[in-house]
Amino acid sequence: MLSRQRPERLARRAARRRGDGTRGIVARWAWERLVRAGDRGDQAAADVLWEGWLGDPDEERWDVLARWRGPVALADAAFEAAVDPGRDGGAREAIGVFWAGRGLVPDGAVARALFFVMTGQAAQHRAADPDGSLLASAYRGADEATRAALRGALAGAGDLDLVRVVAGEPHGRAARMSGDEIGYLAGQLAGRRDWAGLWRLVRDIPLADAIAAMPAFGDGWRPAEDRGGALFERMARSEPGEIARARDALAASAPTHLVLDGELYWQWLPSPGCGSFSPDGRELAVAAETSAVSGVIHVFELPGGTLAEQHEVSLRPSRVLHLGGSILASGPVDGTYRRHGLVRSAGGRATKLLWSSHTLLDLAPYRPGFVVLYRLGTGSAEHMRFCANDGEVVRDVPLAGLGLPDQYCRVLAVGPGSRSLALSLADRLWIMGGDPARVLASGRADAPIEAACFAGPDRVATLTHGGPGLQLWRLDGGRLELEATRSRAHELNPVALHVQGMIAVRRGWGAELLDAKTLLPTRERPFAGVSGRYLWGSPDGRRLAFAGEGFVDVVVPGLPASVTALAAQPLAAMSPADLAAVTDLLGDSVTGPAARPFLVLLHDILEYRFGADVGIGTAIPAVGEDEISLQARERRAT
Amino acid sequence: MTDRIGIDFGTANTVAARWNEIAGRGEPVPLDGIDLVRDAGTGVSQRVIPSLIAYSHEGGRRWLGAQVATRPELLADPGVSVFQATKSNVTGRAIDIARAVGGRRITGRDAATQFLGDVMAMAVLAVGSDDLEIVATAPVETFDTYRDWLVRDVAGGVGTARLRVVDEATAAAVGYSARMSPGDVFCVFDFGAGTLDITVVRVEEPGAGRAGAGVRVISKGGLDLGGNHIDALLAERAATAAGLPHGDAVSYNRVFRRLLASAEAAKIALARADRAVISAADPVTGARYRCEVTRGEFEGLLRERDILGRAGRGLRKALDGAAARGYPADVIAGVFLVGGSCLIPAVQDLLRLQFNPALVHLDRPLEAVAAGAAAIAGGQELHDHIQHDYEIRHVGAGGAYEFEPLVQAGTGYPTAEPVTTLTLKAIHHGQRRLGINVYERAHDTYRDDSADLEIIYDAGGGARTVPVTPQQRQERARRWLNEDSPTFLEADPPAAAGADRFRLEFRIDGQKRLTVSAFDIERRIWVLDRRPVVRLA
Repeated sequence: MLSRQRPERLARRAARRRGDGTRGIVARWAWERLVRAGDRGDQAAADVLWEGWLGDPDEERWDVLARWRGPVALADAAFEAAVDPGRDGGAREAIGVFWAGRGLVPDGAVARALFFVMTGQAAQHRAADPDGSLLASAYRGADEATRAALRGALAGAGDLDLVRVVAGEPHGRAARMSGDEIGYLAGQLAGRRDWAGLWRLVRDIPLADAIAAMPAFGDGWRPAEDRGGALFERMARSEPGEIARARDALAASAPTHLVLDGELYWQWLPSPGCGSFSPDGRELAVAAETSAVSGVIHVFELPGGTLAEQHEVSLRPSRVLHLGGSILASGPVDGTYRRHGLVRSAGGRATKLLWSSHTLLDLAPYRPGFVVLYRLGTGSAEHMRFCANDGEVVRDVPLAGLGLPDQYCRVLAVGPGSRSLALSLADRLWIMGGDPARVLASGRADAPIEAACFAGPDRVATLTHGGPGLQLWRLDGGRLELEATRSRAHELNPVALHVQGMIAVRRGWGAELLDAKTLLPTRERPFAGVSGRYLWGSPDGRRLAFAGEGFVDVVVPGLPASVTALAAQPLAAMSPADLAAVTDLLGDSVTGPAARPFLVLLHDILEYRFGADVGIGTAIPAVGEDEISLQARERRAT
Repeated sequence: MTDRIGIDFGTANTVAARWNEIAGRGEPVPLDGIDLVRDAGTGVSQRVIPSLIAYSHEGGRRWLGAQVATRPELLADPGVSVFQATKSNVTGRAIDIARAVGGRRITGRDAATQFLGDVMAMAVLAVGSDDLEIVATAPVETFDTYRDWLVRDVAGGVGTARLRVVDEATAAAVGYSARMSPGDVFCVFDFGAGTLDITVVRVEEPGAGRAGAGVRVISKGGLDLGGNHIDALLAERAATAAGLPHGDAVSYNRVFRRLLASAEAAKIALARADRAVISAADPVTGARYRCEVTRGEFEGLLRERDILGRAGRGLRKALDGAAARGYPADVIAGVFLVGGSCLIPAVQDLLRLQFNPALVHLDRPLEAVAAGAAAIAGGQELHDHIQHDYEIRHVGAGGAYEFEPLVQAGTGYPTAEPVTTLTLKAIHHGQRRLGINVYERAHDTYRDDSADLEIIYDAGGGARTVPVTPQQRQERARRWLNEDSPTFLEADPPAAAGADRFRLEFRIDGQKRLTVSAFDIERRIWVLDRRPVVRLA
């Protein structure tokens, strides 16, 4: 056997030729040694010869390699090399030229089409595959790198139906193409001035891609048909950047699935206070325990769901508060529930605000910072401590100092803009607000209040444990007036959705949406595929989080997942039902104004396509003689 | 006096015929220079124009019909592009690839338009009449689009001539009706270069006020199968036998195109001789390819590739249709063979096995369609029925498109009473327009999905066969007829989703058009009165 270096040296020497192209004595000797080694089964010699042939295909090495490897195996290897997108185009073409010279051709019509294109034999491809159907099959079966190489090789390929090749179906109907493929096709069709083909394409691909492709039409072409012409103008006038931003806004409304895993103390189980949206709703902080005395706060960006920050805290977090620039976490610090701490984490630094000797009862945002309810030891008075965002104490006052009974107090809900609080205290509902904070009103509930949410700046919905159930209170001066009552039917955990004007209540593992002014159920909107033990609402009232075991799903209520999927869906794949869904959406405000330009344009396109669709009715009403109009009488007279 | 001519543009041959009022039949119009006389195997010579057009790459010169067929050197001339079988490009049965001709790009459809326009113009000049009516024929399976092409693209250049369009199969039947007596039932077996059409018709009693005898179509059947298909099979066999290499695809197509031409000649020769030679030379390399075929081998190929079987099943289907309408095969008084493929002895044997040989006639098979068209122009009446199923598209309960039958194949026309009455409802809130979208189902009824291969001519003028995929057959099975000219019902005030809004009555008029009358249920008013929606076939 030859060493690895030896055959390489022999090959280099064997490659040296004299002016007439023949080998000198040394080169001939080297070639013969190399061939003899290969004949003895030396793999290194065979490899060197093969690499040499790939770089410069020639008859002499091919014949020797065919002897060593067998003609079929060698042809297979050469074919693989010829269609390898990682190989230089010139090297691939050289293989094609060599094979053409020997009259060799791959087995199978599809492989042949691929081979011809990848080796730059355009005329052969056109002859072997006049309609491009074979290449379309090859393209469908190829990996992305080969597809990219094929697209490059086909650029400017005359009359070949590129849409058929790349989209895989006539005219790209229902095609799901990558952005690269769409851009490629649009560019090629425009280059050919195949305007009708480009117009077909833009009505098949995702809308934002279609609008991005519209400038390719220039000023010289419009569809002849009136309705098509109007739609064309509408699409051509749309600004691609605006539509793309609106598309992103719609996509942002899609459910976001967050998974809580990693170094957790136990499987993550949600609790009412362990999740908190940032004030602008663009982040969600979720607290998890990593041991009996430590925890971690995950901060996820929305709607993407990427983990933006992690804050490790030396307490077992039972309550978390996202204040925007900082995170607050509170919970037991010693493995029991007697001694608690409150930590502020910001900029990678954790600061203990309250620690160890305190019993922390509650934590809530209160503009411009937050409020902590705590007690210093058993039997001591409960305090409210108002703090600035950075944790600085602004005011610390016992409940009695606020005109409240000195009893166990809990924060039920935070009002819009964190300007008010709903408190449960001594079987009454208390509303606090103002700066400095003061009691604005209170009202007696007929049963203990279990949960509440602000349905507006002056409205609070409460859920009682037993008794009346859901009640809607209106703050009228210093009084709370009861506006509506809805008997409880297994509802839990009300959350206000201010943008939508709704209240979400948990029922079982799912949720139901109620009108925030009447507590009546709204038109049913399924939360497809999401469920959880607790609901958290974002302060802007736009998003809703379903917290389950090990996960959190964040949704925009009232927006079916199928609608958000429209953002990226090819127009060709849409159906008449999508027109109805988009029409409904435009009548609502759940998607917000940012997505509206996309939806309005999508509506126009779907209206063009499906707007005149019909259903077959059931009744065949008779046409009475007395009901026949003048037109009908004219008809009969003719 | 009005002169009347019929023109049949065939895949291989085109015929122009003039109505002879005195003789009461259609007769070919001599078009000197572009037509030739072909022996149809019956001792009767027939005047046809080969459906060929050739373009010079320089100078804009073109050759038509016999000018191409009698100059085989044109096919070998690199400065000339020869187009053949262009009818398939018009009907959409073959993929149309533009060829570079000098500085121009010419598609098969362009070439067909030029060819037929030239033939029509020459026929008009030959007849020399200022008052002329032309009846042109169209394949039944693509009647609408083909008719539009004839009227818009071809006849546009003929000036003031009036143009009517009838389907080919019934034109042939009308052409032969003069040979039959009132009440007779006969069958026309039209096996051309592109398709096979089988029609069973009955000669009607002359009626009061009618200009001439009439025929009523009882049943039809058909296949996407023709002489070109057979030529392709023969050429493929010859390519394999002669060792035509696949390695150089350009060379392969170049030679295959020539083998196709030779195979067609061999097929014709085998009608009389026991053996024939298929041969071709590569004009670039000079390599020659040759293969001898005996009639036995040829007929074996037809059986092996199920050509005869498919033709037999198509015939059976048409006869079954006639029997179901009360006309069993034993009442058929005559069988007329039309089209060049009927010259194949094995095809004739197929018919003679099915019918009493004395009833089977091979009479002027190449001229029959054009002669029939001329007869229709001359006043022969035609009572046809609808060949396909037609449906209206609607949104079903599940939100997906569904199709509701409107007209069933076999329906006679015109219809005084509605063929279908149904109620339409809007599916969107506040909908203002309700569309009537009509589809034709082709393969499920009249024409089987029988084509398993087709010939494609490449950009360089070479040819090769390509398989027809099930997906392609599926795409051809249901066609949206009025996609470009939809009929809308205007709902004013706008319609409520889900509520019945319009009651529709569909009829078929004397021009074979589907018409709709629409009654607005909410306003209690008729809003459309027998408005034509689509032309039926």
